[in-house]
Amino acid sequence: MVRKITFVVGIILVIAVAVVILLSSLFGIDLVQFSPFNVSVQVGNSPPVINSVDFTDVGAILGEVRNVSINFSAMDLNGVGNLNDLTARVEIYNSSKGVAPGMRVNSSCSFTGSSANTRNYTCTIGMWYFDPYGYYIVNATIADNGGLTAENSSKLFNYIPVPGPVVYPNALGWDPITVSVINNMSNDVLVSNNTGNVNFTNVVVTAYDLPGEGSGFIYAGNFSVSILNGCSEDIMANSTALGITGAGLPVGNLSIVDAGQEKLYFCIKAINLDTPATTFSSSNTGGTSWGIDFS
Amino acid sequence: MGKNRISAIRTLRLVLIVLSVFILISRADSFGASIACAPQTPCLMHAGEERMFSMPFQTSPGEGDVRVKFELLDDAGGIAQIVGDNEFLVPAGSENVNAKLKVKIPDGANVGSNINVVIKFSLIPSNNGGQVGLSPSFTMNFPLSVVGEEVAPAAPSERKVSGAGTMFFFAIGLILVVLVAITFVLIKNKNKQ
Repeated sequence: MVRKITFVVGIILVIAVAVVILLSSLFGIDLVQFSPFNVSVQVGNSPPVINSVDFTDVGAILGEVRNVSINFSAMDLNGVGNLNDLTARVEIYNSSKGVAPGMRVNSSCSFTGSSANTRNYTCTIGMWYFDPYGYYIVNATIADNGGLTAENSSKLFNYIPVPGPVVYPNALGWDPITVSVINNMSNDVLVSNNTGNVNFTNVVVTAYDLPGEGSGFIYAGNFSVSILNGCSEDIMANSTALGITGAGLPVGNLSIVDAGQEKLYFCIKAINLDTPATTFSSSNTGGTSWGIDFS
Repeated sequence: MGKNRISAIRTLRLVLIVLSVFILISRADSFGASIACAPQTPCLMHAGEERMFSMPFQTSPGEGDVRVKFELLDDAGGIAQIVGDNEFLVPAGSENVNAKLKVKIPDGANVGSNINVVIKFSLIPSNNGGQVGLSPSFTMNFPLSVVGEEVAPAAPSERKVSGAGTMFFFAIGLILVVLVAITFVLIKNKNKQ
């Protein structure tokens, strides 16, 4: 009799459970939530992981170095004490731009805070004005005390373009000229330095007739300009943009001779015979400064 | 004789053209500007988007204050315009003076198309005295690439175990087991009788 009661009660319970499950299933009610979960089994030393790399895109400082702060956080399941701070390192490179791995690097990063398993580091990298603008790979690495390393190269740094051509002197001059004398070079060579991170492949000069003090002109067409020392090449015309043959201003390290630099030679090839004897200047009435444009 | 002398002096005056004799001061007024969009790093915008670009000026190391003019040489069919001043006084060492350019991509712009705005920055020369003054400038392409609307990246798909479906079959199985058990008991009892 007891066996029968036990059997019936058991059957009822099983049927009740089955019905509850069936109904909940039909109405979409999850009685048991199955969620994915991670199981980590730690055996010995775990390699560190660099979770995040953060920085702000910036541009060059003209003629100088721009310090770029790069932060990254490294996690080690064995605790932050297992991270070897001395190995925290960041480098910025782009071989196609002439900045190879190892050229812009900081191997003495400082840590700025930590939790049980994660430590934050800040590294400062000096980007030079002659590092061409564009995207660079940011590579952060660290090792733990067991020699296991972590690396993260997932972020690109945008070195923002900062064009900065500098010309000197800021005006040209000639010694007194006799009309019968031809090919008079200016007193100074016009030197252009590239103090920014943008290449220029064209140099255009726009000349204007040079008014005399009171009367007369030396016409723009009397002048020539060239990258070569001499009175040859390009003849200018009034208010006309003239591309200088072969001129350009590449990015370059100005401490290296002729790098990042262009020189222009100006010449008065001849002067009209009826030109009055006086002083001619772009700052005289009716005069206009000459333009020199880099593009 | 006197006439000849006067004539000679005149001739001398005519032949002698005095230009600027001054050896020029080696000062080089110069400047730069940070420009967000450039040929190797075009800015990505979507059709209908409007954006304001700020371009902070810099002066070269060791230079004094400079005055700069900002021009729009090509507004790409009217999509770009200068906002605020187009002439600026940039104090030496400052990076706080900005030229501003507003760009509005047309609503119907095709994804994948490229739009090029051309801008120019010129130094406004200070009074250089009796010389051939120079006004350096640079001209930059300001390229924009039209991209599709930003779509929020899909969250990494989590493999979800379907609890409801599994439970349904589990319940059916349970009922079948019960039915089998009842049938078995009934048959057993019948055999006993």
